[in-house]
Amino acid sequence: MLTVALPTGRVLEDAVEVLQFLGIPTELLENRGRKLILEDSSWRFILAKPMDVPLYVSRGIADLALAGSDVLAERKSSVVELGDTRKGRCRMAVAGPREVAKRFESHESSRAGLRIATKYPRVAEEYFQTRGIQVDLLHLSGSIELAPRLGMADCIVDIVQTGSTLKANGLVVIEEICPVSLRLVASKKSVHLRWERFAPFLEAFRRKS
Amino acid sequence: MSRIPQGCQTLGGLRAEGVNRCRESFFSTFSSRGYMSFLPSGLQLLESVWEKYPPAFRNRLVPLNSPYAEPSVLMGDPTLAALAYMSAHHAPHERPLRLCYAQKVYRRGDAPEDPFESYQVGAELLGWNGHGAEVEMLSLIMESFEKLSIPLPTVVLGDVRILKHLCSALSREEEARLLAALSSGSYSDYYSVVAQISSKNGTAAFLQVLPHLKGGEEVLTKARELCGNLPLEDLQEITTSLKEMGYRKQLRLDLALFREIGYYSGPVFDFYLPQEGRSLGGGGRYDGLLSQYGILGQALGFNLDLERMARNIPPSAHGKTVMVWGGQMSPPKALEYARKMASLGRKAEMSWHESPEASRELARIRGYGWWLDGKTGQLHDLKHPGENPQAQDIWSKEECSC
Repeated sequence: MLTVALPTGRVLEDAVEVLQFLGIPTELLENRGRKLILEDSSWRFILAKPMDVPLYVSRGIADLALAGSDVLAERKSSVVELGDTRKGRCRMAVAGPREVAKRFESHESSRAGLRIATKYPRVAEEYFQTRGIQVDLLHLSGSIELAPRLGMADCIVDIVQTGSTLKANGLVVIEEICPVSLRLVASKKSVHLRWERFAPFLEAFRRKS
Repeated sequence: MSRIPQGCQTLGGLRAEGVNRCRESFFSTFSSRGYMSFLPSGLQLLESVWEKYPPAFRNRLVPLNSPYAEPSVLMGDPTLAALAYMSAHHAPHERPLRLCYAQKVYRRGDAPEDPFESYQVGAELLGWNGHGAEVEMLSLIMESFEKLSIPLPTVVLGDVRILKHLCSALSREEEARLLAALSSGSYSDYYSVVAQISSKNGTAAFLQVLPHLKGGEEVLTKARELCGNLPLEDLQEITTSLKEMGYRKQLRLDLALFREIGYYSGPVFDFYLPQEGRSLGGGGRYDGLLSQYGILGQALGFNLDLERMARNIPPSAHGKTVMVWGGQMSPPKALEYARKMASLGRKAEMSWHESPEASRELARIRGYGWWLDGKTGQLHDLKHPGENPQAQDIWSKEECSC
């Protein structure tokens, strides 16, 4: 039996499409109700919060998983990335009001002490630290766009898909950090010990790309 | 309750007992084959370690100042300490030298959930050339697991010289990008790097196949067919020897197995227990590090996480333990009962309670199977009160005529 961890929320639909592309049966996921574990004799699916998915894989609970590259960058869990599904594409960016954007255009010292609200404190810290900019990080769990509007932060680090949420909250993209997409990942143990099951998945992605 | 630093842990009870059983199993196995116990200092001078470790490893060390203001690091890996000890205390003609240790080590992890402190058991075999060293060490590890009566781990075996050999046909930039992709565990990055490598002597074509060379001994044959001049002799010898010793089912080859190339220089390995989702640890050959101490020859070492190992062993049963009540008798006489029980292979804990009832109650709380009345010399089966069906099996008047 192979155990697959899947992220709940809107990305689940993309994840199911990827499973179908790989030839993994998804009937169990169609009428899941509120169940978090679905299994038959060959497959077991674990439905978890997107940010927790890499942990299930790095601990070897799940053999395989679909996780956003944003989440993988934030959790830094020890997993093997088998392929980029090119689904759920968006970008990780620094965004803020136009007046804050001007601070990014002027001398680097003007960015020192920026208050950054984010769901991704490790990614944000690494991004600014490698540029030698000291910032104050504010770790929020959601609705990050609220923070600059209410004066709690100067700008945000978050994922941006269409930019409509940013626009609705008077924010603009200031700098792009990295592209984001859904990745197929596997546990190190499973890659070492059950490679025969994974090799076709790797090949499927290579053919696609 | 007093706090302990984040990332550290204090173990007690059954977990501590389990860790000790694992440690004893490894120490008894390795010391019976000439491995000397080694107790390195918990601090190492920064100047002694910094330049010797590759950046990826040394950035995980934890620097601090000693009380004498000497820049130091918390023990992050006993290997360097073992090498320094050997080069300072043993002459070349005494080699090979074998050391084993159990030590708390401190390293910053990559992920927030990674522990900062771990308790490791390990061994080093220094100054011997040839694959016999790997076979010796790997088989002793297996023997140590056999003593713990748990399903044996799988050892994943690779050789960093395969990648080194392939990288020699690449530019420095290509090599760096390829190793970075493998180090981060990203096959998608790996393949995007390989796709950009111009075909040189078939290297690019072989790199396409490399991640798939995982499995049994047949991957060596396949690798030879694809690239005739790969350094596979040691892997072949190790595999053949371990198979001969009955460990075929425990062996798995992965020719793309990656361990820090700047540190390791030959065969490398990782251990996976069936019940444990992560590697317990591993090791490999690190000749380059040895040469930094002016010592020629081969060095080989491993370390395994004792605490995670202990989670997978069955708890030791307390049913055979005896509570010896000596509350109303002289301590030497009561202690002699305990000594006798220990000589019969039974664990015995003393109870100095005034009342026998309190002593029996404590034995019950502890989950002990037996209670010995020091006053009468009578043994009571606590699990089957009044029956004492097995009392004679472990106790006789002759044996207990203290």
